[in-house]
Amino acid sequence: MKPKDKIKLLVVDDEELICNYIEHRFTKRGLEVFFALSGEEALIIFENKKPDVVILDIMMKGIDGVETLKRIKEKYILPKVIIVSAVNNQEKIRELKALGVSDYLTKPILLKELDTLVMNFAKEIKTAKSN
Amino acid sequence: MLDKKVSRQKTLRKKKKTLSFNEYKRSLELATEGMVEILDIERLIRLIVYMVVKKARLIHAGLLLYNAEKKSYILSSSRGLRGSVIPKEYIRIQPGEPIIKFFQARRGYLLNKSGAIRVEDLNRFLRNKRLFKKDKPLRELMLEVKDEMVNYEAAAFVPGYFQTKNLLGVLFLGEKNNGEKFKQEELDFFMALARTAVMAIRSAQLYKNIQKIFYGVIKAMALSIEKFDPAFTRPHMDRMFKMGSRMINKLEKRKVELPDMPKELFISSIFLHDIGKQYTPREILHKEGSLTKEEWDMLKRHPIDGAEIFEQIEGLEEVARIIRYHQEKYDGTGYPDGLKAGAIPLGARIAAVLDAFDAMTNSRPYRKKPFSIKDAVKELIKEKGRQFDPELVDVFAEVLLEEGMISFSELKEIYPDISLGFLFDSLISR
Repeated sequence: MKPKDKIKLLVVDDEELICNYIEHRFTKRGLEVFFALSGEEALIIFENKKPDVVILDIMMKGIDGVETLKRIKEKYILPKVIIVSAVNNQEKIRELKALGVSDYLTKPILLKELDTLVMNFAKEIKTAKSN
Repeated sequence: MLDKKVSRQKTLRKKKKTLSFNEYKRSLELATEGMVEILDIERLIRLIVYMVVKKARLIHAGLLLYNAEKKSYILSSSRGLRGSVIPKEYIRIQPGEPIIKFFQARRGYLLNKSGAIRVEDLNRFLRNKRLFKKDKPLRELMLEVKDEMVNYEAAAFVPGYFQTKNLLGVLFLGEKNNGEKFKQEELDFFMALARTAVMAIRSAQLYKNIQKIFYGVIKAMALSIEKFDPAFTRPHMDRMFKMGSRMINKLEKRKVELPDMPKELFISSIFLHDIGKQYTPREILHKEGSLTKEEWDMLKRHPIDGAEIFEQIEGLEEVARIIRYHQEKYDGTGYPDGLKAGAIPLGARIAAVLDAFDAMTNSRPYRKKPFSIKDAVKELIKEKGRQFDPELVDVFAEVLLEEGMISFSELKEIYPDISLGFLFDSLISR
């Protein structure tokens, strides 16, 4: 597959080890992965790379996940967004779903759930693009 | 010359890479010997994973530990190469998942006499289709386990059983840096390591539970003071706890010798000091005016009454002493025994400062309007060497300053001969 056809995944987490791991894991599964250690960084990468799928943490220093999401939404059509967060609060989840978040996983996550979500989105997007 | 050096380094590195099993086994064994003594679970599992990755030279490794509250196995510690290593606390595995099912049924022993799974044993077993003729589900499960090995980039899984049937955790091992396979003796050794680790984790968990109950009882006792003493409230206890622990940390830094007891217990005894007031008549505790001589005499019995409760408990003699002497004054004019200076236990001297300050800055039946913090500190300073241990007043002022409860200029105003050294220290440590 040519690099430009690859599905682009952006992971936003202030824990660098998590970013490194997601990058490693999904690069091996054929995706092009970018990572951002803060909401601010995520916005810049978003502008330049226009990712197809975003894995987003909520609690971060600076602008948090919710705010990042709102700012992305102001300017672009929201891609598939998967929240991965230690916060397990029904109200927060409702708020995020209302903002257009596709899925919400609570840390510690089941790795298989994340895999399935990401790979299904990738497949969906690929089919949509080829049509 | 330089080339020589580089090549020497290279051979050294090569030598290091091929460190034999016997060489690292010894150091792992040494590390395991001390394990049972580590009662801090987190430190313990970090040590296990660290030792395994470092000594066996693995790309990465992680430890999944059963968490009763979450009813799943949580990756509690991990280590290794950036990217390959799964961050700790990031993932969990549920009891129904293949690896857990496989180990719970103790199927590991089918593949290897050690009970651990090595990827090549699994492959060898799966190739032998005849073995599965009667047991298709087993083959399915093994295929799933194989997928999991790929999923976690593991070359081996090592189960940790408690009392042979309870699976307490699973250690997963990434490949070795040099690409070599795990030898049988290594698997045997990792299983032995897992056994020791499980024992150590169990005793640490038990210790933690007992400790939790113990401090729960202490806290409940302290909170029961609230029922009879209008001055004792939950916020009062929380304030005492916070300021007390800050003071104790500072004293430690100043190399002041603390009594030989856990820090939490030490701080708890400080706020248990008034527990004897339950025997003081209520009218006295609630009286708004000044007390008569008889009333004073009754009130003055509370340190002894309180101490008597704890004198019954072996191992808590120091707690009893702190309670008994919390009304002593530094110059020897306090009660019940008129002890002086260093003869008064440190905990009792700390309690005196904290309690006086808290009493002054909050309303009491006999004095509705509290002092300002500044005035209260002024009072403490005035009583330095008389009612209070001078060093402790300084340490307490330092804590207030750092907490932002009093400003630098306010403190300087009421305490002109304050030692510049300590102010400087406390500014630096901010």
